[in-house]
Amino acid sequence: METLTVTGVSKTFGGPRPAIADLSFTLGGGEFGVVVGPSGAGKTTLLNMIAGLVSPDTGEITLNGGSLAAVVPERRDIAMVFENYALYPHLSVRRNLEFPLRAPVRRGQLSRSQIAARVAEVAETLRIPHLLDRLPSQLSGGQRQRVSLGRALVRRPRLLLLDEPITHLDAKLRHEMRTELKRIQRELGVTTLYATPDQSDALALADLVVVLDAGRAWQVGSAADVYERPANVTVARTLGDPRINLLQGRRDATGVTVLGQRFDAGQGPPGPVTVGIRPGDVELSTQPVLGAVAGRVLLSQTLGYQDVVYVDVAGATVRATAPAGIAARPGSPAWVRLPAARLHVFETATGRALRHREVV
Amino acid sequence: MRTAGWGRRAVLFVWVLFALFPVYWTLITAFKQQVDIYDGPRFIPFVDFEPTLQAWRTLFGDGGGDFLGKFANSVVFSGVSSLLAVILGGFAAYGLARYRYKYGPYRNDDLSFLIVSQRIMPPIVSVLALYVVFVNLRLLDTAFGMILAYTAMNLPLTVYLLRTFFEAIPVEVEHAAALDGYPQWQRLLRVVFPLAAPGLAAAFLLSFFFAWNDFLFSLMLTFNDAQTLPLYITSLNAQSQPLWWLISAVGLVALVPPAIVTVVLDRFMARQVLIGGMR
Repeated sequence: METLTVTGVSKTFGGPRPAIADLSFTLGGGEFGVVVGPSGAGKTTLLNMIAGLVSPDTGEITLNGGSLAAVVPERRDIAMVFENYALYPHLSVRRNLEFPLRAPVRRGQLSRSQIAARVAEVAETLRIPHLLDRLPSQLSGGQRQRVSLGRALVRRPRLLLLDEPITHLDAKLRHEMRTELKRIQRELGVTTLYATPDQSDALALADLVVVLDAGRAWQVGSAADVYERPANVTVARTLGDPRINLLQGRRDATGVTVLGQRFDAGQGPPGPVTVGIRPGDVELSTQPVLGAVAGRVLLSQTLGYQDVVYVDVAGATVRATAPAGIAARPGSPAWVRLPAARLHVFETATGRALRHREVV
Repeated sequence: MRTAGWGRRAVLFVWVLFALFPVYWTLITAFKQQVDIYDGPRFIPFVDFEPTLQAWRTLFGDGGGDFLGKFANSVVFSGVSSLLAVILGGFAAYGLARYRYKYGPYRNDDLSFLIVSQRIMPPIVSVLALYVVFVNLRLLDTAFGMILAYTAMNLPLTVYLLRTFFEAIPVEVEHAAALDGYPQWQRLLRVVFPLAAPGLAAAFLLSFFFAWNDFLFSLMLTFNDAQTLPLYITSLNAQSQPLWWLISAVGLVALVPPAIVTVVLDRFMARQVLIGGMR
C-alpha cells in the first residue's frame, strides 16, 4: 500500500501556458484517486510525469516517501494502462501478459511456472482465459482493454495509473468495466490514479478527486467534497450531470439578488456574484407557485427516469430536473423556484466560492 | 482465394510469358555453343540445338578468370554493406523519428533532407571525389573500401525508408515497454525492431539490389581483387566478340542471391505487425 505525493509539480512544453502548474496532492495507500478534467487539462502529462516518461520542471513526486526524481521508468514499478491500450501487436495475449514478468529488472524473481500461474490468475480475474492464444488484432476493443489492464496488474505494481482506460468503450461496456475496475482495485488493494474526462467516473470511483483544468488543480478532496462544496466555479462546472446552473447575480450586505429575486444567503461586500444551483435542486412547476419566477420552456430532454427541462427566465437559461413525463412542451409557461438553502455563491471576478449549499 | 475471371487470367498469362521470356532466353543461351547462337534464333533445346555444358565448364574451370572470387565479392559486399546500412540507418532513422534535434538552424526535417540529398545527385558526381579520397586512404580495390562505399550509397535510402516505419509505431507501445521494466536497448530489441520488421526487410532488400547491381563504383574503385560480378560480365564482352554463352551463365548465377534474399525477406515484408495494438 504505497502513498503517492505530488508536491508543487510544474511542467511547460515550450508553449505560452504551462501544461501543469504548481500541482500538489497526496493519494493514500490503497486509495482510488481520480483526476478529472476536460481534454487538454494536463491529465496525461501528469500521469506521464508520475510514470517517469516526462520529467517535471519543478516539484517532487514521491512514492512512500522516496523521491522518484532519479528513478528511470523501468525501475519505478509503476504500471500504466494507456488510453489507446498500447498492446504489443506482434505478441499473443499470453506473451503480452508475460512481458512485464520477463522484464530484465525482474530477472530471476519468478520461475517459469510462477509466471504461468500469475498469467492464469490475472486472466481469470479479468475473465479472458479463452483469449490467451490470440493476437491483439483478433480482439474487440473491450477485450483489448482487459488485456491492457491485465498487463498492468500481472506484476502487482506499487502504483497503477489509468489514462482514460474506458473512454473508448461503448456506453454499456463502460459501466460494466467501471464497476469491475472498482472491484479489482479493492481486491488487489493497489494504490490507483485514474484520469478521465467523465465526471461520473470520478463520483462513482474516487476516494480522492483531483479536479484538473488548464494544468491547475482547482480542488482536491473526496467525491462528496468536490460535489457538495466546490471551491470554485470551475469545480462546480466540472462535476454533476446535468451541469450546474451558473446565473449572474449581485451581492449586498443582506443577501444576493438573482433572477430578480432576493435571497438571505451569501451576504457580504457588494459586487457581482455567480450563483450556482444544481438542476436537481431547482423546483419546477407548470402552475404558478409562491416564491417562483415565471419563465418559458425552451427544450425538454428525457433521461427516462427523469426529464431535464431548459427554461428561459428573464433571458437566462435555467436547467431543472423534473419527474419524467412532466407536461413541459417548448413554448409552454413554467415556474422556477430556487430554494435559498441550495444556492452556491461564487465571486464572479475570481470564481472563488463564498457560500455552499446546505446539505440536508 | 477468389477465382480470377478468364479475361484476367489470359492477360496475366500473356504478361508472364512476356516477363519470363528473357530469363528463358538467358537460360537456353547458357547451354548453347557458339554456332547455335550466331546461326539464327534457336528456341527449343534438344529440338533446335544440342545443349552443352561448355559455358559452365569454362566458368567453374580454369578459363573462368576467378569467377567464383568475383561472385564472392559481390555477395559479401552487397550483404555486409546492406546489413550495415540497415543497422546504422535504423539507428539514425529511429533518432529522427523519436527525438527532436537542434543543430544551429537545423531541425529533424532539415537533417532528413540533408541525408536524403546525398542520393539526389547522380553517383557519377560523387564517384570522382570518392576516387580521390580512396587513393589517399589507400582504399582502392579493397573489400573494406567497397563495403564502405556501398554502405554510404545506401544509407540515405535506409534512413528515409525506416524513419517512416518508426514513426508509424505508436510511442505509447515503447512507453508501455519502459514501464514494464525494459531499458532503452531492450525496448528497441524486443518491441521496436520486431514492429519495424517489414521496414527493415524492405530496406535491406533495396540496399542489396542497389549494391548488387552497381557498376559505377566497382568500375572506378576496383581493378582486380575487389571486382564484382557486373564488371566481370563486362570483361567477357571485351574479346573480339561477346561470349554470350558465358555471359548468360554468369547472368543466371547472378540472379540467384537476390532471388534468395527476396524469398527470405518477403515473409517479413508481408507481415502486418502493427495492427491490433491500438484501440
